[in-house]
Amino acid sequence: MNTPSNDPHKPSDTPATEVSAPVLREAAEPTEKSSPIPFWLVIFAGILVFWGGFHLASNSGGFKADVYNPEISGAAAGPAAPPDPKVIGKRLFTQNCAVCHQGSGMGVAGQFPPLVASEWVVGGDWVGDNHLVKILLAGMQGPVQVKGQSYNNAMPPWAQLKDSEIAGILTYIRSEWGNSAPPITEEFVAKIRAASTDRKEPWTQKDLKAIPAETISAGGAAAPAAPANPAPAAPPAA
Amino acid sequence: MSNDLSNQPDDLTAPERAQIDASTSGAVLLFFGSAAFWLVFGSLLEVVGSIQLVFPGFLDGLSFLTYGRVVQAATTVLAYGFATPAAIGIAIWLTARLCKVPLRHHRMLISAGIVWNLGILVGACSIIAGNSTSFPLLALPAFATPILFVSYALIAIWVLFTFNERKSGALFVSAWFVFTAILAFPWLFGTANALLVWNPVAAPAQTPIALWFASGFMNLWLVPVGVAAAFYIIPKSTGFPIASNNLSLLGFWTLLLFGAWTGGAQIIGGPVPAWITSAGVAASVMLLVPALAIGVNLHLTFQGHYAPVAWSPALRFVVVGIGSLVTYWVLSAINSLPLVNSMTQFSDTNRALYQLGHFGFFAMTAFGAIYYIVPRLTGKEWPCAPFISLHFWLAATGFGLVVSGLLLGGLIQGAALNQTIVTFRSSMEFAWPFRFQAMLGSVLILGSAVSFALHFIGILLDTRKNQAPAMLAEREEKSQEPVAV
Repeated sequence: MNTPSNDPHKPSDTPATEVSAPVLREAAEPTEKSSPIPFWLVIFAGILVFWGGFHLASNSGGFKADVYNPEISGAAAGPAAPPDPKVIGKRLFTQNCAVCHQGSGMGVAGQFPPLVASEWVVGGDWVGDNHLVKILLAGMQGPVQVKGQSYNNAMPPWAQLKDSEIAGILTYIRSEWGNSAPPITEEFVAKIRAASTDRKEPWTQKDLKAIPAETISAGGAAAPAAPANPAPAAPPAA
Repeated sequence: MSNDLSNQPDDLTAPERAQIDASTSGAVLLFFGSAAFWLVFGSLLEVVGSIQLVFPGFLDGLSFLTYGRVVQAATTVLAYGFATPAAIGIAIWLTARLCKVPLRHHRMLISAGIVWNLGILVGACSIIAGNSTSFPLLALPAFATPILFVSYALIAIWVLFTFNERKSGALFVSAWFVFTAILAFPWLFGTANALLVWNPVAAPAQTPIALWFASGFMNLWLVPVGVAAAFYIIPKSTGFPIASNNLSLLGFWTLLLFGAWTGGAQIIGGPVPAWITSAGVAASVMLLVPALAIGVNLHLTFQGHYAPVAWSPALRFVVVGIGSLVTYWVLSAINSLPLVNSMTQFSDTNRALYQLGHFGFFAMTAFGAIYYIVPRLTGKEWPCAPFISLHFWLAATGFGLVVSGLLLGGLIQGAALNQTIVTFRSSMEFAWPFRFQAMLGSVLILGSAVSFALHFIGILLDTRKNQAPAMLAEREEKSQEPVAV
């Protein structure tokens, strides 16, 4: 309370400063009345609070840090849609397979057999989808007939890849370059892998021919769920 | 129902008011004067920028006057050279008046004001030289902001000391707003500069931070100071008490609660977590509550006596300013709705809203406050009432042209951008006439700034005494209306 304006040498009847006309004509310092808030404003504010809360609850993607667009993968839609196996397959094919079989899938004449329209890939008179998976898991060597041509080379095993990755690669090569065989599911790969764990050395054409053919549509463990209609990984709207 | 709250007994006498004003006059006049100078400079840069938007070849070949630099410099100069010093001047004067004690150490504030202006000068030259950041309102280079911080600290400390020494009694609503603004500015400015300029965070987080700052700079710094000025000047001029303490409380707390959250609404669909944008939308809509609370409260305070708006310069500018603030918040709420925003997001509409808030509300309210405060500080009346009238009509027309042009042009441009069959070039051509209109408006705003600055110099140099107060229109001798100047 001991403020400079309480100084004894400055009583208000002998002003220390000259009082100018603008200050003299001023009204008293402003005060406030305590009228109530208008009822309509209370109602309106209540409506806004309700709307704001509703908007916040339904458009925030569960307040997760990784949900950018609730319409694409909101909290209600569960976990994010599985990635397109063909996209994964193309990447893995380019990294691992295209060295020999080429990016075009045509192989190299006389050395590496083609994948385009190959009975080993899309299925032939005795070749089934189980044979294709087995070749990837354990590799292949020795003489082999592809589209009427003879090859004699060695393909390394790819058992270190996950079931989903092998399924991706096979789905990719079966649907690219004009091939149109049904996709290979992860479950199908898992089933073949479990059935052939004892095979360590690469397959030969003779050994494979002794195994009866299975196709994914007949012997597939699961219905073609995810890959049949892969969810587009659309980017959020700009 | 209409009981006055009891802070009547310790009202100030005229000599006490004069003594308080004498203590603040040096610092406040320095801040207002530098604000007037930077207003002219910033408006000039704004004119150059808006001409270049219409005629891209304008000033071709001058690297320091390219569009990107000119617009950043104009925004920065108007925000930190004009708006912020004007807000500081209003805040200092209101604080001393409302706390009913003279300001101590006002020479410290004058030094701080000089340092502030040096910081703006260095920063503006550096932006023109090409050394700016990519964030609007945060374009000052990293070496210029510490200068502003030192200056601001010296100012805020003495404002807060004055608060601490206030005479007892209920704090008037303007004091709440000023106190909030004084504390909010260093929090906003410091956080944003630390995270974006001095030590930048990861890129995806930068946009939300920049938008948080931009909305906070408006809603928690300029708005509280401008509203505080309106809450003081309107009852002071009309002689009526503020209509409702409860409405003041509602407006104050809802503004504080939602003010800084609105930025997210500008990046709907952008690369940020969804809750940031939905919170921005909800906050933008919730700002309708303070808009109505403040607007209705001040409207009821007039008790229907709007006649003094015709002749009182302060009231006329303040009423236009508060009207713009309510319009700004209503349009921002509409613009944030995802349905509307999908059309307006990348259009001139957002520039229209920026001008509506920063010029239509803050600059107009600050002009009103300056027209009210400066005669009290100098002891002289404004020398030439027609100059005030000229200032008002140039500013109001110019700002009307800018906002209406950008708003309508933005809607057409946004609709065109959403049509896949309309090329981007066509969408620009649709917006061209409206940008031309906005360019004309910015020229008028420059004219208003020049007339304001000349008049400010005029009142400082004027030596005449015992003039009649400057009125914009005749007031009848036996009028029942308040004098209000």
